[in-house]
Amino acid sequence: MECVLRTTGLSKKFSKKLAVNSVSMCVEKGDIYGFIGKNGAGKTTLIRMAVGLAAPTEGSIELFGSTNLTVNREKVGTVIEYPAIYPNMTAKDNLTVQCKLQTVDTNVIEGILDLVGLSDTGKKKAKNFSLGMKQRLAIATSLVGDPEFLILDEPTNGLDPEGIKEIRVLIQKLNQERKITVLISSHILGELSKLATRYGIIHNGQLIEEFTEEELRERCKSGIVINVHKDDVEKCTAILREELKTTNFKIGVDGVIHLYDFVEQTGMVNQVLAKNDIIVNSISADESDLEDYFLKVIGGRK
Amino acid sequence: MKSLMASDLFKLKKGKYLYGCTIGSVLLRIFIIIIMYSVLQMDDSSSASGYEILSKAIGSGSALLVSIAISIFVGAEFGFGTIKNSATKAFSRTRIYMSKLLVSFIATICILLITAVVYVLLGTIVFGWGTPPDGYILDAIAKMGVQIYLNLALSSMFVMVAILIRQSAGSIAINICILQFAGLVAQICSLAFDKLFHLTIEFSKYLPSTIISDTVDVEKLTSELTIRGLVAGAVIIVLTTAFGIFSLQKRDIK
Repeated sequence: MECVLRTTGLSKKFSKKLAVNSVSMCVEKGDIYGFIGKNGAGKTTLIRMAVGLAAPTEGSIELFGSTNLTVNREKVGTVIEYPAIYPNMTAKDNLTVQCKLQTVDTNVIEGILDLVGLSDTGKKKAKNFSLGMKQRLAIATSLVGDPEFLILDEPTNGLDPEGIKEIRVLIQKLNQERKITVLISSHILGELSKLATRYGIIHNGQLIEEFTEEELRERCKSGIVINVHKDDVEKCTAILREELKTTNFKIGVDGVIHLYDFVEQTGMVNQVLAKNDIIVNSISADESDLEDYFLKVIGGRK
Repeated sequence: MKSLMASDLFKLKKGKYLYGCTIGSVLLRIFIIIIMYSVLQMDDSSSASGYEILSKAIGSGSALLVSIAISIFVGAEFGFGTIKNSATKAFSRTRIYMSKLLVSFIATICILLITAVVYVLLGTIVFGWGTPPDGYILDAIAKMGVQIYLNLALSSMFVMVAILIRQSAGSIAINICILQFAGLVAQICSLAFDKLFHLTIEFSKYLPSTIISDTVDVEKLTSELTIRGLVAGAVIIVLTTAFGIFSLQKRDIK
């Protein structure tokens, strides 16, 4: 698969602190790559190096398979941390600045504003926009020149749930309809998991894991939750011990049994219990989410 | 470079600060005309005319307002974070700097020329044009040329300061301090050189503001004054531009 962004042994040192430590990562074409890490983990520093705002101390960066970054950065749209817009200008004027900068015909402005839902802002200055509108305007600015790759650093920071949803829908639309590859960093992991197709976890400057959406789903499957009548709990655990030969389970305070074996064999467990006259109210895979997984991964690396 | 400048010129056109500073500079000259008129009313031995104002029309009186306009123009790019929009595209930092510098020069020339035109026109309306001596107009135009050039040297310094400070308010403060205290620092340097090395160097002679004042005060522009102005201006422009570009290239953009 073609890598839109590839870093090899990328490092950045600020005086004595290694903010990014030999990161080798690949954002594949068509991905919505969720870049996850705690505050100060090195996400923004890595993104700054990728877009040319900071110089790497060591390592290399490739964009679209080439190390000629100056030329290839034309194909990259960026929104880093907060919306970089002119507050005293209208949305149209903000895009006009970018069109002039990139020698793009100003005819595209209406279409872009329409795409991000800002076509009706008229003469309203950007300083009077809500934070969500400012963020959408910043994304609109990054879309000038039809980028093939969008880098969004914390685009949902400070937004209300409605604003977060708007940005998510917009990113999905750009990825699916315009085939734009997206690298997005966010703290809102629940939201990111609705969006990303691949993930990278960075911790203390090091990329500790890269995985796909499917791999995450697999890794989050941690067991089976069995809900039986409270009078049957003891009988049920006896069957697990005797018939399934497992003691790898716990009984929750609510009487629910959490079985940590046979994760892929929910049907078989159900069949065994039913054969022994246990009425199973519900049985399902116990799935943790991206947030739990992230905490589990970085938890052991303090 | 052309696209960078087109974009910067558009921002300049949309920025109210340029109009505000131009109006401020014009108002300052109107105030000077009023003062001159009041003095002439009280003192019959003094005289003024439109052609005399011509050689003083540029001067260094607009430098303060030019420094404010440039500090806002350049500093705001860092304050709003919009510098990232060009720095993440296919432009080298040198080009980004040169575009800001050239557009600042254009802004400086606009402020100076509009102010000069209003100053001369109003002076002519109030005092009459008068009868200039032979060769006066050409000499006045040459003086204006040197004055504009030295104002551009000051603008080059304002751009460098704004690039170093990376915020509007701080840049305005530093640039105003430079304008106000450069003469004092030059005098201290002269004293120090005299005390330490027994060398008599009049540093203040090479300050743009001093040379501009000299061009206003002398009856006729001398070649010594012209060369001093051209060399001092060139040194300032080259040094500040080199240092500004170096700083922009070496420091990360936040």
